[in-house]
Amino acid sequence: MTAEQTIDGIFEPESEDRSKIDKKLKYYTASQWQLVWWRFRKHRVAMIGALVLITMAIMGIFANFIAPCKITTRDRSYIMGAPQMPKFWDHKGFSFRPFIHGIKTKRDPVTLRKLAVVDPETRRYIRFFVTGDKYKMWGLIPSSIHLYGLEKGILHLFGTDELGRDLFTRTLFATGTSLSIGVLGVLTAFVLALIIGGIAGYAGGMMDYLIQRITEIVRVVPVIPLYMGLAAAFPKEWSNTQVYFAMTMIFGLIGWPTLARRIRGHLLGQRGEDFVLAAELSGASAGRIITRHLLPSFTSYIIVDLIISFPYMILSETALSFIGLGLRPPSVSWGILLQDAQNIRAIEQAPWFFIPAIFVVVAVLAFTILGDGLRDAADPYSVTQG
Amino acid sequence: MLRFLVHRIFGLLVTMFFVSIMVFIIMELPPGDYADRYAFRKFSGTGVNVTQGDIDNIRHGFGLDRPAHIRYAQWMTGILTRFDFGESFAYETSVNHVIGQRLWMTLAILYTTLILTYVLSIPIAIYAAVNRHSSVDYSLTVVSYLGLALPNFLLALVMLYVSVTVFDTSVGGLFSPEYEKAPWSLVKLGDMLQHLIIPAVVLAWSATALQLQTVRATMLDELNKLSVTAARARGIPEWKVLMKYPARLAVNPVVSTIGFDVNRIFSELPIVALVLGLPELGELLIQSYLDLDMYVAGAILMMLTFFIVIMNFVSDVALAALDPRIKLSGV
Amino acid sequence: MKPMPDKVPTPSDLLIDVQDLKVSFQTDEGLITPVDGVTFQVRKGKTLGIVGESGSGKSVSTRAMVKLLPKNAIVNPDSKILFYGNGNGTCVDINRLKANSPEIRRIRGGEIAMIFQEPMASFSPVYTIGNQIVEAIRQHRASGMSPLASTATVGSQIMESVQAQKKMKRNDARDLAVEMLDRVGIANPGMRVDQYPHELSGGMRQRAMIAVALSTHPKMLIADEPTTALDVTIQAQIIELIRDLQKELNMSVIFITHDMGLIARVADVVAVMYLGVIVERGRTDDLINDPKHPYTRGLLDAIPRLDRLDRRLTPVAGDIPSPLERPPGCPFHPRCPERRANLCDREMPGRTQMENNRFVRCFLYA
Repeated sequence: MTAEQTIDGIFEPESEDRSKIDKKLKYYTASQWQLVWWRFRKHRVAMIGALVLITMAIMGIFANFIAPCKITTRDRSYIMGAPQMPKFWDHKGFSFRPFIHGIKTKRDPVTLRKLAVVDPETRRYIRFFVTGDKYKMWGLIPSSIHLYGLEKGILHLFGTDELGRDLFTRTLFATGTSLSIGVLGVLTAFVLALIIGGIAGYAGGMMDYLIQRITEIVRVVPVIPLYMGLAAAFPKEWSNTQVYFAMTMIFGLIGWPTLARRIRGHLLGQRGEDFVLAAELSGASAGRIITRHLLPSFTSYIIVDLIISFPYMILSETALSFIGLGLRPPSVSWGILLQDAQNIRAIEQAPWFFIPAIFVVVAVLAFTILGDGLRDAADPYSVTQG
Repeated sequence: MLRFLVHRIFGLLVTMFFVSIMVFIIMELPPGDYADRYAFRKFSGTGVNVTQGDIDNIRHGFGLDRPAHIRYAQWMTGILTRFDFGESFAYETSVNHVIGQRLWMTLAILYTTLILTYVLSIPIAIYAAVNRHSSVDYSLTVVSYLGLALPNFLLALVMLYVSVTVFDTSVGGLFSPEYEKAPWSLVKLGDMLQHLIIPAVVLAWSATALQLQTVRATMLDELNKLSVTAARARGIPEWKVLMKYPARLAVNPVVSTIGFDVNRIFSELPIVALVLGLPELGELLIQSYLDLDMYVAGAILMMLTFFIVIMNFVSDVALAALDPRIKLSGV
Repeated sequence: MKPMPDKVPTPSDLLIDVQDLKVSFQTDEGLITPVDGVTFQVRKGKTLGIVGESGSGKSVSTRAMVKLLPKNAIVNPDSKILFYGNGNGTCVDINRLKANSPEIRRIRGGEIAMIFQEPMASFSPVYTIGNQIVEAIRQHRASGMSPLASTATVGSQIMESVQAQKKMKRNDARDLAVEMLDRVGIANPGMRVDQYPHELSGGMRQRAMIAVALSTHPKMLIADEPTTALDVTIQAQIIELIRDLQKELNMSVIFITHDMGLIARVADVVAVMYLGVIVERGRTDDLINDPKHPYTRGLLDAIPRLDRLDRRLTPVAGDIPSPLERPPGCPFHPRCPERRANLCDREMPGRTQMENNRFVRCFLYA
């Protein structure tokens, strides 16, 4: 407003700070994405959410490199072992290089079972960029360099499971699997929703009615029992890769109605606007109107919708794998790791089996606050905050 | 009013018809059919050599060699005329017998959860909205985020862990061992109610989180309405203004989402039931999926969905009764 | 800046005397002061018109008079809102009453009633019109106010219930509600009383709102842009109705509007507000025929007049600034065609008193 007044000469420029006017001009001429970014940057919590998710994605993508061993590597000397914390300090003094104490195997005098006992006299130093198990990065680049390792043995940051497998390694790979199922599921749902919701919202009429009915029916059946029903149909002889893709397909197939409904709502709301009529009058095709005029006007909302639907995908995957209807061992996902925690006796003896659960909660929380932050930012001209 | 009811009941029947087709498709999806599984189950390990002919005989015996639409019609006729959901091969008895009491347990859990959700969320959310930026308001935000992020089955696990390590008791099951087989009595009912608390809390967790947010948002909206100012301008006492105007309207979205809440609870019930060892339909559903006992699974899926549809209907009617703006003229 | 004392009319015919009212709001962007030292009086049975653009603080000042401001509002404790219409004839400073105390609630709705711009939004959609009238009646019959008996039937009912000293029976209150609806010119009131707001037309809703407000026979009615949302013909009917009822009940009215043309038809005295300050006040005739303040002149030039059809309509240039960017000195100076450099943008002009209890705040007359 002030900028306009200056141009009209009603308001003398000297009465307002020049830089303030420049700032305002910048604000009023900024593109929508710039405005979204400016507002989003101010949203501290949402920024943290984004950082957490980026960290998790990196952990998943570079799991091979970060992990000290393979997901199947068994450390027979440290079965159901507690998490090991790197130390800089013990009774022998200070060390710049972090270390852990060694493990001795003892037999329980009564039960004669093998027990792993910490030996405070030995130190095992941690080294970085060590050579270890061979792997192929993303199935392509052969390597054997790992981020960290002990001089002897394996450092178990999250402890080990009943077979002595490193829980940190397994959690890293599980993070990759679970997040990627979420991404693929959301993308499948999005493509379907865009096509179906776009048709319904733009064409209206019979098509719209039909899609509304289908949406209603899919929405009325409880989601996880429905997933379970479809997952139960996977043939037992399917490979894990097949199950993996089948699951993303299911999530996409059942996830689209909610998204389609929103896209349809956006389209219906905008369809009556004058700029659409103007485009129609100047001879633009329906496809062009949808892609060039309608969709860009709410891209930011669609992105928010996509982000918000992530948590449901992740939770569904975790739930299905948890009860044994989703992915199956030996693949790992958060749900599969949590299967170990189903047993009361196991979690009583090894509470660290809950660590993957923390990842689930943090991921869902991060997606939720990121979605909330983006939703606030997506409406750049709204003045109300909080 | 009558037209409205007729219209809604018709809609309900149409929805159930499509749902039944979907459920039937799911029942048909797993590779192999009932006859294969029946034969495998019946004769595996007995040393009897099962030929394809034997399986075909079984198949014919069950009428499974008929085309899908006829089998669907038979299945539906059984349900509609005799309330008969078919045979469970895993238990070798009728589905109705397998489901039996579990249906009532499921409903007991459902209604306890719903009541707990509403009793907790509505007053707290109204209080938080009225006292915005208070400590209750801020803790509500934190709790509702956690409620969305911590899945119910994990909460169930945590509760199990706490009960085992701290209280040294298990919270699983719906009855204490001494009442498990006892006939129904007041004491047994009381025992069941005690056992219902944990599953209800676990299941109400995320539903409450969601309702807290909805009610608070609506209440904040309503508090800013001119009608509230107008009521204050009439000199009505503050608490009466709050209860009669904004709070009354803040309940509407709760009523309109009852069906959604039931859906959510049923969606989470199976896994929670599995973790807590509850003898109800959700747990049986998982078991029958794992056993590919599809008639049991189909029956349970139908029943759960039927309840959701019914609760949607109840919520529609209740909302129409609560809000005079909703026309009762159908459509 | 100290406010100059006004020549105060004799308290015997004064109903309300607002002295140096200041209202601020604590917002995220900082403290804003939409009402900055407003002084006015309303006499019994007379109408004060407050004119101003949106954001001038006219609604906030009247809401402050009945303590209807949101929680983040701060009313200067030195401000006085003296109300002489209290039941037992004593004078009460409303600003000293506690928010939501029984005293303020008795005055609010009982002695000072309000109607608003949006009749649809002023009613709750989920209760019938009758429900919301009965609520007001029963609230104030319970507190045992002394009513101004005017309509015989209504008056006698009120007297009875006051003697009984308990809440009016629901049925009696309903009968009264029907009578009030009839009185404000709603046809078929017996049916309308059980209808919901959305079943009434805009004009009828505003009539019903007046019925709610006047059902308790208040001494003062604050009408906050009551006709802005209505058609011109209905607007005229509503104004006619308010004036009739005002005469009948010997009620004072504060009429808030942004429409200078409308104010000439309804008000005895007009106060022109700009950014939280009354820039000019005087008898309606004086002010319309001889506007002093450049802002008042601007407002009058912006309305079409039948006797001067050759004249071009000139809107007041520029927009009202946001309360966050309040200009220094005279708040109107950035838009003022007659501003004086180094004076208007530095100092706030004081009140210049004129004959007929008129004043203007402008250096042109200092």
